[in-house]
Amino acid sequence: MTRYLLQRLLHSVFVVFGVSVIAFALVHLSGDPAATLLPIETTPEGLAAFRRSLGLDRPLTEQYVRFLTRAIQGDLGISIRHKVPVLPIVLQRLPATLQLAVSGILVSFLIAIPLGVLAAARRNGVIDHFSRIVSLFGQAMPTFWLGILLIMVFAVRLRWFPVVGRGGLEHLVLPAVTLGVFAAPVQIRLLRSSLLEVLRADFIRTARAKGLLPSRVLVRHALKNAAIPFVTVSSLQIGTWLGGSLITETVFAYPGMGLLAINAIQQRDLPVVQAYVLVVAVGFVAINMLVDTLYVYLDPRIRYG
Amino acid sequence: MVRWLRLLARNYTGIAGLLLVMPIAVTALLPQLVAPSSPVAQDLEGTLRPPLWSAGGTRAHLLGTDHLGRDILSRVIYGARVSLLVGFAAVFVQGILGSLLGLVAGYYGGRLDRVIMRLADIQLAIPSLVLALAIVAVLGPSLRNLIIVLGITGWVVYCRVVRAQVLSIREQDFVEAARALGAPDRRILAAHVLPNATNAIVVIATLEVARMIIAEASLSFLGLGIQPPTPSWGGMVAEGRSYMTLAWWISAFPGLAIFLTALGINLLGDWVRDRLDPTSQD
Repeated sequence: MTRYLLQRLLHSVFVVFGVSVIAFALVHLSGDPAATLLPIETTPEGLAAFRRSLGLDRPLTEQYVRFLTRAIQGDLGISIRHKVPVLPIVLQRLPATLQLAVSGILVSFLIAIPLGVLAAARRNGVIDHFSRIVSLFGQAMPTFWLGILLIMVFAVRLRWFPVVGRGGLEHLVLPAVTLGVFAAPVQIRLLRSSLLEVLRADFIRTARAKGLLPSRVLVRHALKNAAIPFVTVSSLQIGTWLGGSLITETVFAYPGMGLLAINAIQQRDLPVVQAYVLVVAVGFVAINMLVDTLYVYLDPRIRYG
Repeated sequence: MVRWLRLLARNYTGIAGLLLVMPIAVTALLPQLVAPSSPVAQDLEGTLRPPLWSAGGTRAHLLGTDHLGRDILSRVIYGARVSLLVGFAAVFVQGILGSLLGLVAGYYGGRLDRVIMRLADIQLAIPSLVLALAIVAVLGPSLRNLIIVLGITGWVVYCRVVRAQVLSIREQDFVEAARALGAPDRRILAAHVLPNATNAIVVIATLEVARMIIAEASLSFLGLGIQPPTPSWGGMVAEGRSYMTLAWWISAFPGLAIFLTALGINLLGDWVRDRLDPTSQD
């Protein structure tokens, strides 16, 4: 077990390392980072001075090593626009984003668990077809459009919820529903198909033959065993939202990390983008590790050697 | 061909998908035949006209006009071209890239396999929309950059699926036989391994087209995709945002177009999957 965890940790470190290379390369993608970072009207002398001051005239490998050593110490550079260290700017937005991600996944569970379970329990029944339509519609729905429709109906017309921003619980409802509808289709399909697979297993027949109530067989025996793929996918979904759902946060002007990243990209504040990419990658990798470890407890059959 | 059509006729999913996709494909190919007017012609006297069925709607503008008096219907029709073009081209790029990497990783195994799979892990740890946005922001938004960026960020699924297929095909007798006969690797890959993985690739690709269309629309919505005045569905939804309280139709119809296109393609994709992949019947 310890050996497995160590291996997993090593792999995670490697992935974060790879992401750091990409984050570093982003700034150099255009060929001349000084021109990318500074306003277009900067004079050639200004550009040269800027290059010298940031060490951009040094060889690339040297620059990368410096970027990495500083990053490990928590120094990801200075925001070009705000003139302050970028890491605190990004981390400051983390609570808002986490709050939205958790609410979003809760909404998706509310949609997906009943639909997925009932669809599998009554295969080809009315609910099965209904859940199929729901997941088809959900998959085709562009998030930003759904968000705008929700605002138009529930905020502008009915005035049930505020239009944008962050505050109390009422600010979370519409963005969380937007995220939930986005995440639910995959969960529904997955839950249904893994439940159907479990329901075919011998131990389910045994449980039924024992005369257990169908609902008890479904919940105690089948659902528990179908949980693993479901947990994997929903935690991966949370993992991708750690970066804040860019679209949802933009539509609702919700001040999370995603909105920060979008604004930074639009203002070409690349150090902020770099920090954002790194923070998100570390979070994503950490969640993945956590889930892999969780499996061992969820399913005693899994033993990592 | 006839056999396929008959299968299609027996399957409502496929028909529904085709009914949605066909008209959109036609408008994308020949917008000038379908559109009532030019997508960029402004009419500052007739701005924010509501659709025909609302009070104040006119027959000249079935779906109303936007803040510059441009005909929404015509803009939606012309927007189809960009959406479908980017969607299909991006899938083409990612399909080729991912399948090639998966083929190589699965067939050769060893160090090459490890390197490619690690690259996939790294790619997955970065939200693809962020990566796409950042690259477009640095390189500048253009049709070509958009296709390349969306293509690059989507290769991992193909790579993983093709690799898994190759791993199972690699050890089979007919591949062994080909190798024993002295066929070079390139030939074995192209003639024996790849054909056995195409079903999987086609299934992913059809479902990815819809995802890429939504991704392009999202980038355009954020202002980093297709640049105005070229009409794009995502960009139109974004333009309508400022007029949400006054004129719901500016955002609503282009969004509906994205939704229906993605829905149609997904329905077709489901149908293709049921045909090509008998294990997916559940």
